[in-house]
Amino acid sequence: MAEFRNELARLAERGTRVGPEALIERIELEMADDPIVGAEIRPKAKPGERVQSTRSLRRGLGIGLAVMLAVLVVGGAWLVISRDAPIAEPTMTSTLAVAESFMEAWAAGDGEAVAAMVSAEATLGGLELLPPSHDWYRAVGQEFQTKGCEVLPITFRTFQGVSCEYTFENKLTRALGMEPVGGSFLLYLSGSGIERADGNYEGAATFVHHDVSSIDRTLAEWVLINHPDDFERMFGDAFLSPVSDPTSIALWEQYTDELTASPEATARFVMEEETRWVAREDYFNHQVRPICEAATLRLEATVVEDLGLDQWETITTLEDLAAMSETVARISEETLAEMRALPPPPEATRSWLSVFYSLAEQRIDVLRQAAAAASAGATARVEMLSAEELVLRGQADWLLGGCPVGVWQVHMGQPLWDSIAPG
Amino acid sequence: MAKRSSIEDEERELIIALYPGLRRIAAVAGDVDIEPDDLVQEALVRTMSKRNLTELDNPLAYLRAAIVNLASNQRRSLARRRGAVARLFSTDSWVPSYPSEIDAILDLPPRQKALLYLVEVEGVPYDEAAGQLGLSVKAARTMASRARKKARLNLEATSG
Repeated sequence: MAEFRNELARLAERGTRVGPEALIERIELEMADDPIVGAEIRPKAKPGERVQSTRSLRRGLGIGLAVMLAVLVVGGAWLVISRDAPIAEPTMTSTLAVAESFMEAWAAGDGEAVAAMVSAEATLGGLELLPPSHDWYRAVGQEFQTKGCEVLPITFRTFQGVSCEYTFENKLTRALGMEPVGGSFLLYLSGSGIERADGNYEGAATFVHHDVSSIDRTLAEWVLINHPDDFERMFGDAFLSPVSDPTSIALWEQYTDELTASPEATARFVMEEETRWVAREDYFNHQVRPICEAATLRLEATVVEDLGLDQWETITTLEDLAAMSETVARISEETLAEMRALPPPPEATRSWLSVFYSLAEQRIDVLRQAAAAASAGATARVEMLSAEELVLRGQADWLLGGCPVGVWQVHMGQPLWDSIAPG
Repeated sequence: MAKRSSIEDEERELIIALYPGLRRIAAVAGDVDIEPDDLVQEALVRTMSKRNLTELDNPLAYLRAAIVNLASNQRRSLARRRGAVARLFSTDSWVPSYPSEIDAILDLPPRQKALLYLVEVEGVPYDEAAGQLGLSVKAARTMASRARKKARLNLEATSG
């Protein structure tokens, strides 16, 4: 007990003490709108890392704002400001050449050539699926056109930032007579090749509604109406990427062709889909979401009060997992009953809602099975059911996010079982 | 209220008086990568941008709750940032210089650490600690019990 208290007391005295007077001075500067004195909640320097003075932090932040503006202008997605000296290699010319070659290979769907230009330690946002993602692009007729690269005044440690622009068309944009849709990559290069890439697809592979270039979203509605049994086969991934196995790819190709066979019918469907979307959003926002939000608050209160779990806390025991799963299942069930008691939804919403109910009910069943398995200590079964629950949760969230009940942020995109391993 | 550019004398005195207590809770609740004074500053600025500190019924409790909330949010974003950095620089690891016995405490969520600190070190009764952390008394007791169990410390509650 004494040791425990001593450790906590010691922890309470950690850090570099600024003192109240200096802190007040900092606060006054910040409140006076000094743009570079804001309270930065910043990580401490690691061993061997240079500690910056307040002045250099101010300068860094000022530079950061300027560079952020520059990146927004060129369409970059994010940036990190270098705290090191400007890079010496590779040269700007070779950097540009590598980036442009990379984009040519990417646009051509040449997975091997892309892999050869990427360093072993690279972080590639959106490129991991290559070449399977290009199989999907081919299925939906997506073709890229590179629009050149530009070396940016951005470095990250010893990496040079480069922005590369492209446009794309697919069967849907062609059927609708749309102009090519733009996108960009922000690449970071070193002497070893591409070290980091972040794609800004601008609708190509996202699920942004009202974006008719988003063929997956538009096709989702069409498949739900015309081929509901194939929906899961094509959209079965919890993270909302199109399924890229050969069977699914064949379905994507077949149904995209069917959807876009007649430009007139395609345009009519997109307009109808827009109308359905508006009706659905209106019903969901005004009737359904208040119920789900109340249920989420109820879940949070129950979990805090009865289980003692913190909002930011992961689940660490099978006992807690059982209790959490049962609680989520029970409140989900109650919420679905409330939703069903609402006035009938618009006609355009019924098929969508019907799929959602089916997924939500499956999820409740899986949660109950997981609770039973956790109570019995059946670890392997809990693992399997947690993975299944995550898939169902992702699918249901896609249709109607946060319903019937939202999970805490700490569990978002995570199976409950993944959170169990302590540390 | 209109945006202010200075701190009134009464608030200044209040900050000086509250500073030790705020800093300690920031040090306990905040991630070891975060300077406690930065958390205190952020909580004060956010609070003072909306109201005068002297208007608060219990400024210590209010600000402590704000600090713990900030620490929770920062923990989340830091975890993301660390993940990204770790992928880029796999050799750039850093281990806190605390002894291994305290690792279990450091692993606790910010609110649980703050709760244990308040009841075990400062001797704050549960009802008061719960108020400072935005919890019901029942939830605070459950949470403290869980935190002790989690930290593998066979302790008995001594406060409240």
